[in-house]
Amino acid sequence: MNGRHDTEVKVTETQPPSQDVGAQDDIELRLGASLVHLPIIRSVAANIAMRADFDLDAISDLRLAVDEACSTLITRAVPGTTMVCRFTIDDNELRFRGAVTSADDEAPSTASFGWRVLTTLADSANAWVEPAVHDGQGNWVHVELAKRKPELT
Amino acid sequence: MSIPGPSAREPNGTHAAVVSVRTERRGDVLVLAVAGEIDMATAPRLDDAIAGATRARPRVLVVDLSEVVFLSAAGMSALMRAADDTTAYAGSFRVVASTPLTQRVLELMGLDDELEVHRDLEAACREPNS
Repeated sequence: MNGRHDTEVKVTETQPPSQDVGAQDDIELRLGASLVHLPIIRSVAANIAMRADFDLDAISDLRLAVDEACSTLITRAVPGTTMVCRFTIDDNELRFRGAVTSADDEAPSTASFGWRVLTTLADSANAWVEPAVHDGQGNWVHVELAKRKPELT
Repeated sequence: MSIPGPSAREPNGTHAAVVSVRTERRGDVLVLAVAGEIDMATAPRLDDAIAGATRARPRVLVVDLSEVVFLSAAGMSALMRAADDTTAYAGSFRVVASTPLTQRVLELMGLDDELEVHRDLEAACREPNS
């Protein structure tokens, strides 16, 4: 690919989907696209939801939805590359966006059981793919989901 | 028999999720007591334990999730495969979901309808063969 024959893949720090570094409250995680990191991502997701006043069920839902999103991404990632995760909180919802570089040309299947779990637990979810324009190596695969803040009654 | 949890260590020292499966035989009931986090990294361990258990063709196979603190789609898929494998030899498959966490996710995904889910281990072992 692109005339490169590196055998040792270095952790990439290319062009993640974080063009917008403006929001001071956003939280971004960059970690190896490996399933061993799932517990860290889950605990960060749960912690952010807890501090955003989500109730216990919503925290648990978000933890699982984010886990499924990241599992989906990691299994499609080019080995040895980095996954980028971003958490955004506003008055209404907590939004998660994750992306990896992938050899896949298609967005993750929305017919899988994992995707069904994700969409059951999140209020909205979306997956898409875009060409990695900078180095021409494969694509960026994205998964985005949002969980509404509980109504204050 | 006890299958110890992995101490999977990446070169950078990061620990993967840990799950352990303890096997206990109660007459013709085989119980797999699972503890820990079942995510995509650890679900193969549950799959292996279930495959080993179904090879012995127990009349009743029980997967006890009482000490499971996280259950993902990969873990639920393992449970559904276990139900299929057990049904294939006319055995009975039961799940123990005694915690709000496991009960909630199984209900949300409709698995409480597809699987025989019990609230405690005693009930799961006592139930006559259906």
